[in-house]
Amino acid sequence: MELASGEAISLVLRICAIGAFISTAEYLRNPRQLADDGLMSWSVSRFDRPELAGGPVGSVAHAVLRYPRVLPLLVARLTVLAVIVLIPAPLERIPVLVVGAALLTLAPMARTRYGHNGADQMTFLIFAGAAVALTAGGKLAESAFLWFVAIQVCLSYGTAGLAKLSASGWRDGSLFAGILGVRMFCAPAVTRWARRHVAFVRWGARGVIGWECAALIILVLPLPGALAMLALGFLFHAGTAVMMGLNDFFWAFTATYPAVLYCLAVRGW
Amino acid sequence: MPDDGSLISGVLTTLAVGLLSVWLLLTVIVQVPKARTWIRRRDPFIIVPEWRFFAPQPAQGDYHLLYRDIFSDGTVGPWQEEFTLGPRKVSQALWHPGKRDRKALFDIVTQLQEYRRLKIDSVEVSTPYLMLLNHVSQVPRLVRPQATQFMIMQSFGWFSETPVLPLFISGRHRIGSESEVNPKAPSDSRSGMP
Repeated sequence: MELASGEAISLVLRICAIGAFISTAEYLRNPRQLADDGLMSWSVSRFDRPELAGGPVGSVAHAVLRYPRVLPLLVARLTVLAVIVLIPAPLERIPVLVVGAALLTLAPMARTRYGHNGADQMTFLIFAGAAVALTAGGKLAESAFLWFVAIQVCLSYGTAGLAKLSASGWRDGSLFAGILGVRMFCAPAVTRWARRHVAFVRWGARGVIGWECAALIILVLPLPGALAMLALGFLFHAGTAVMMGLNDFFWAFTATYPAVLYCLAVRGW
Repeated sequence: MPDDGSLISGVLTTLAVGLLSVWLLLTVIVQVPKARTWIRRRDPFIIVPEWRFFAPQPAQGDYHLLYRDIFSDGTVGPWQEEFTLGPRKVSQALWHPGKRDRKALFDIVTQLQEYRRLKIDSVEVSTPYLMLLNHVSQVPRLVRPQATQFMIMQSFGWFSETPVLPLFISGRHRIGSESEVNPKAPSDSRSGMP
């Protein structure tokens, strides 16, 4: 298995950009959430953080992030992401694009603490990490970025797995069954099915815990085991996208897999 | 970008590797509760992630935001729900523009509950409270009310036999300028459990 650092970086960035593009288009489809009366309102949220409530930084942030001025920023983000996905040139040679994507990804996160999720954080980690590495340039920085992303994704699954393992409700499946009943996440047919298959749900919860905890050591597993873990991860995110509507997690987290593949290839065994 | 073995190239690479290493280290440290508070105070944009994914205590129900209006003649309107849940569709695996409203409501209510758990007296000037009040105050209406009030309720999922639970009810807050307000209209700023 051979994957050059440049190819791996391009794959990571392009897959991540597809998800971020969809997410940005979703913001623009439903801009009211960003308006002054929305639940992601800048006019209220800015006072939650003293550094953004006033002073020179606050003034600049207010000029750029307030509604509706944030909308052109989102259109710019959409454009940059589309270029990242479509441009045939190797992305490691165009760091300015990635720097732009990182800054424009930070904009919605800077407006408010509410409404964001782990996929937004992973997207920012990828673009900002790549921006740092590609601006510095060189194979060492590229490699450091790919290890950074690979370790972050292992850490993300692993810490979530250990946190679930510590909760008796996760171990006996009751909390997982509860999630499958939440109307925000699941259709009634899923809830009905889960109620009829209690043992399956219990073992499903234990499977998720086991897979997430094992993901902590993907980078030191034998190659077939590591590849199987990534395949399970792909299925896991596809499943949660279909069943729970967590579409952005699919793109943000599977985008990290080329980085994991790169690290598996260069680790030396 | 520089990769020519020059001093500048070496410095930039060292800075990049150092920055990524520190970021990674902070991501490990933030998982420790005591360190979390320290880092969060210095991380307004939450760029150091805490990876939880529904753990250890995931959502076990849905939050609902309701509001009702109080009019100048003293009549009180019915409770009305904002952000009603639409049907879940398979297509949302690809395109799900409504998800952030629900997630924002979840985050706001979670923070509001935390304020109440810590018995913070100033909940009515807290960001989550003001965010909800700001929203319900600006919902388009046919008749302009004198005041409004919101309530958070929790339901416990499809087919649940557990009754819907009121979690929080706000005080009554006047809408509009003082000159428009009838002084005899009800005004009660107390918030808490109904």
